[in-house]
Parts: sequence; C-alpha cells; structure tokens
Amino acid sequence: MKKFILFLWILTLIGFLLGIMLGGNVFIKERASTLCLSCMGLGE
Amino acid sequence: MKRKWIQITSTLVHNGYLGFLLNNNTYTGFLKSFCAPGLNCFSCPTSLFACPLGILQNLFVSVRILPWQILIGSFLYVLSFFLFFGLLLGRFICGWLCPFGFLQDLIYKIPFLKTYVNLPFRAQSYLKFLFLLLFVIFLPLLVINELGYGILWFCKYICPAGTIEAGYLNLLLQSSLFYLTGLVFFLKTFILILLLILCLIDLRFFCKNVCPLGLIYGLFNKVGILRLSFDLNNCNSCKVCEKVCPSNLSIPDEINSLECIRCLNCLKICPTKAIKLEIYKPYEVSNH
Repeated sequence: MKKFILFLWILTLIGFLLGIMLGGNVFIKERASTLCLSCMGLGE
Repeated sequence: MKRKWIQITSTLVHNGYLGFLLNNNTYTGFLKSFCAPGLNCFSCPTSLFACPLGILQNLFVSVRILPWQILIGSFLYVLSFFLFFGLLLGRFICGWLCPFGFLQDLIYKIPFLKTYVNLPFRAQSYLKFLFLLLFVIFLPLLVINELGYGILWFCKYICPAGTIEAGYLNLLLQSSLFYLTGLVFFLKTFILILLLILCLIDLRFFCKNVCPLGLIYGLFNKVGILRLSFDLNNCNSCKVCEKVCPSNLSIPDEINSLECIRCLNCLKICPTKAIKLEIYKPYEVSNH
C-alpha cells in the first residue's frame, strides 16, 4: 500500500510534466475557453 | 477559520473573472489551462479555470479524432490534476472548496422539511457510480455522431452547476442564445429544480448521490495527506458525531470512507476530542 501511494504521487508529477511536454495543457485551455453549448443545455 | 469564509473565498477564486461585464465573453486566458478543484462550469462567464469533469468528458468525446500525442498528453495532464487534488485534499474539496457544495449548504439553511431522503432500490449506494461510469466515461466514449465526436452526456443532460452558471448566466448576458433553448434546456432546468429541492430537504443530496467528481475524490480519502483519525480510548460512545454527519456515516468504521465529505462537523462537536484531523506523510497508511 505504501508503495502504491508513492507511485500515485510520482505519477502525478510525471503526468503533469509529460502532459505539458505533449501539449495536453493546450488542449485543456482550448476546450475550456470555448463556450460549451452542451454545458448550457442549449442546441438540439 | 470558519468553513463558511473559506467556501466564500474559494467560490470567488473559482469565479474571479469580471471581464465579462465589459465584453460579455468568458475568460480565455492562461488560467484556463488548469483544472479547478471543485465543480464549476468553465462556460460560466466568471469562471477562471477548467472544470475537471467537463475536461474529462471532452477528452473521451475526442478520443477518435485527436492525434495520439495530444491524446496521451491531455490524458496524463488531466490525470495529474485528479491525482494531485485527490492525494492532497480528497473530499475536503467537497466540504470546503466546491462552489456547488457551498450553494447546497446555503440552500439547506432555508427553513423547510428536513429529512434523510431514501432512494428506492437502495440507489444511494450505487447511483453516483452509475453517473460516473455511464454519463462521464462510457456514453461520451462510445456514442458518436457522423463526425466522430461524442456528446458530453453528464454536462449536457445532468450537471446542475452548468445549468445555473453556464446556461442561465449566459442567457442573461447574450439574449441571442435564446433561440437555442429547447427540450434539453427544459430537461436540465427540471433536473436542476428537482436536485435543489432534494438539497433543501437533505443536506448535500447532490454530493451524496450524484456527483461523479466527489466520487473520484472520495477514492483518495484513505490515502490522501489529510485524513481523520479516531482515538477509541477517548470515545465515550455518545454518538453525537453520527448525529451531525451529513453523510449518515457510522463512526469510527467509516471515518475515512469515500462518502465522507470532510465537513469536520464530527470533529468540532466531539466532546472528548476522539476525532482528529491528521497530516500523514505521502506514503503513510492509516488504520481506519
């Protein structure tokens, strides 16, 4: 269990850095900056 | 410091963009690259951050059309936010930081019939799992249109935070959006009203029975840095802690269960200080 918790912390750090390196933050920013009609319940 | 003031501060931080007063548009700056800890729609005109649940669904609906490196990068990036918030705070986010949790606390203060709502077929034990697996993961992933895109099922058909923050606020700001209102909008409004009435009767009904984000954070309650501990030697079995628990948990057995929203009511009311909030080392395992 101890090793598993430590693994999760390491995964957090690696995920964040690798995510930025592969452009994940750009995707998040792009999606979060777009007005989402689904969230508003509009359309269709 | 009182929980109420932290909730107010957190709500203002989640929704700190005032530029919409000048241009009627949502915030599109640097902070939108980061996920917020609480349930707060990114299409809200005041929202500064991305909603983790909305982004997770956006990722699933785009699986078939994104280049693999962007897909993996986005998945790892979003995962790191879930892990970071979960491991650091767990469901403290629900109890102390989530703007929609704060709204539910405010609604519950209105004098009305107060009781624990028992759902039929013991649904309270599995309903939020159903919402997470079905509406957040599998339906956005599997049901696609002719362009290869999926639908944000939870955002589109359920999320009450989106209905208030994105739906109604944007309709107030941009009257041109009115022509897009239809059956889905009325369905979402009906769900919003139903959930608000249930939250008026039963404290944090949405957190306890529906919220997929709370469920994800709850998985970390046993392994996060902040955990509750229980000293059996100090306990006089008055059970007053169970009476003030909004999640109706059995203490001490379920003190770190995924249902605990970390409001700390039990800790505050305990006359013998048997319940403590402890900061664990990242690799430490607790008994409860």
